[in-house]
Amino acid sequence: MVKLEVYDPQGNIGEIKPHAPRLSDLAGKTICELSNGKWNDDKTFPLIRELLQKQFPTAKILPYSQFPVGGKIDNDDIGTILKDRGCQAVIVGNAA
Amino acid sequence: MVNIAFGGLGFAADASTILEFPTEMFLATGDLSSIQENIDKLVYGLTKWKSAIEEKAAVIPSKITVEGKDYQEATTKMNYLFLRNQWGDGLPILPATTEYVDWVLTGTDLPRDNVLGIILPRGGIATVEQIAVALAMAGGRPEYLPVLLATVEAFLDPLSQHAHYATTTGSNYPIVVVNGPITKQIRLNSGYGCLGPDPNHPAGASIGRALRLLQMDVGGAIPGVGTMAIYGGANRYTNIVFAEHEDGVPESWVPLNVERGFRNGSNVVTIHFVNGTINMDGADTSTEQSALQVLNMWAGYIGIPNPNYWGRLPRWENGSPGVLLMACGTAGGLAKLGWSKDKIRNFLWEKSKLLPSKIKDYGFQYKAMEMGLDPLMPMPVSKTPKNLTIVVAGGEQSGHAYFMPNQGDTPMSREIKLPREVKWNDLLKQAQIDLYPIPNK
Repeated sequence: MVKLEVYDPQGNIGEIKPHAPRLSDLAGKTICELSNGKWNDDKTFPLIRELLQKQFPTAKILPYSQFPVGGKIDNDDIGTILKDRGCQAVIVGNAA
Repeated sequence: MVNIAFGGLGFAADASTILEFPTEMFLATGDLSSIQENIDKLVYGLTKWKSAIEEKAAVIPSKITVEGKDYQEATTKMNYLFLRNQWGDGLPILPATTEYVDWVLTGTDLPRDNVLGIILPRGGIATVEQIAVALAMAGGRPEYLPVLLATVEAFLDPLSQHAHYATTTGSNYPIVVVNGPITKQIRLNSGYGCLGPDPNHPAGASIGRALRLLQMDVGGAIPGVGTMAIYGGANRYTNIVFAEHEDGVPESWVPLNVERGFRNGSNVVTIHFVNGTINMDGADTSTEQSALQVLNMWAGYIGIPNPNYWGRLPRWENGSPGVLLMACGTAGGLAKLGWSKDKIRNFLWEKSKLLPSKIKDYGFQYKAMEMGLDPLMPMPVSKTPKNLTIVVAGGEQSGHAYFMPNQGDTPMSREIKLPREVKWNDLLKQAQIDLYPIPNK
């Protein structure tokens, strides 16, 4: 028998960070949208917004048009922008 | 896709287990009913969901063991295992054993755990060792490693925006132009068939394929998952790695490395992300009339209605509209007639402008405005003529030229770092023994 031992081609992906803790409830919270500028964001976000608002009438939903769009959402200052606007949850999307 | 996107940002990848919308939703005729059906899952994701990973953790993969009754069977099994795991590019790969990778690593003095950066979208770490693994899988040799390391450095420069070009629906791929004496030392082709394939000059294919394997395995650029390139293409297997034909660069011109700010004779890689190769049948520059005809024809090719020229402001301002390849005979003819590189660029830039009627026909008015241009005026393919890249390469006859339209942002260059001289000379001597001298034409 021949035994081959080879390197894993994917290598190390380094340290994995845990996700942020979830909110207990969306009622009364500020939910923000970030669009990567890809297909149908002008259709999907408004529908998600409408459905969420129906379930959580006291939630404040800030549309993606109020934030940087496309490649600009990768900028380092995006976290500060979201915090300054009081965002407590963020929906990022929405296609490749 | 979502797993890879989260992984690339350094987060636990299990968020996609909540809900992943179907691709169909994002098509032009997309049916949005799945949003209505799944809105509760979206709410669950924002409120109740918990990742299985609650503390910082590192993932260090162990080596993979495969057994077979002989070497051939073990290698075949390894290849099937890699295909099952979505590793590799679909073509057979060589086993990256400890011995092979250690040998490849003799091509650098850098420590094997030296980190060059992370490759997105997956976010795998490009260490010197991992880069050597990819080169081994691609059948590479140690003397190719310095070029690959410089290429990966240039690829990972933030201005290259490699994540964008890995994931986009456009089927772009990196092309790497190499300058300097290393091109002859490691047998990179600059002449006939320089873009490959070529058994006399195997270095370009191995280096380019290793970069692709890094993009796919470490970077996660798997079709339909980590790269949404609509078509892909044969050039993606090995990307394109070749040398400028520096001996054929007219005396009054300078080669690409010098134009990029490096000293003449320096070993340099320059990377562009292009999305095609266009053969321009006609490159006779023996008379003023034929040269003008050729330049006008090239301008016609360059002036195609390529929305990528005006797709992103950084690209239009600092990127290249494309790479123009011309053979040394064509370049020599132009130089003899008094055409400098800059004069050629100015001519092509001016003549390739998109006319206002075409801007309107193609609906590109908004693109013109995004670039700060008046849509009622002819629209240039880049901010200045300087943006166009010209490289002298290809077979010596003046039959054809090539244009490779760019899709990337700023082209990036890096100087190639060789290992210490004694080691480098030993590697080159060994290559001469292993590969035999290149036969005379």
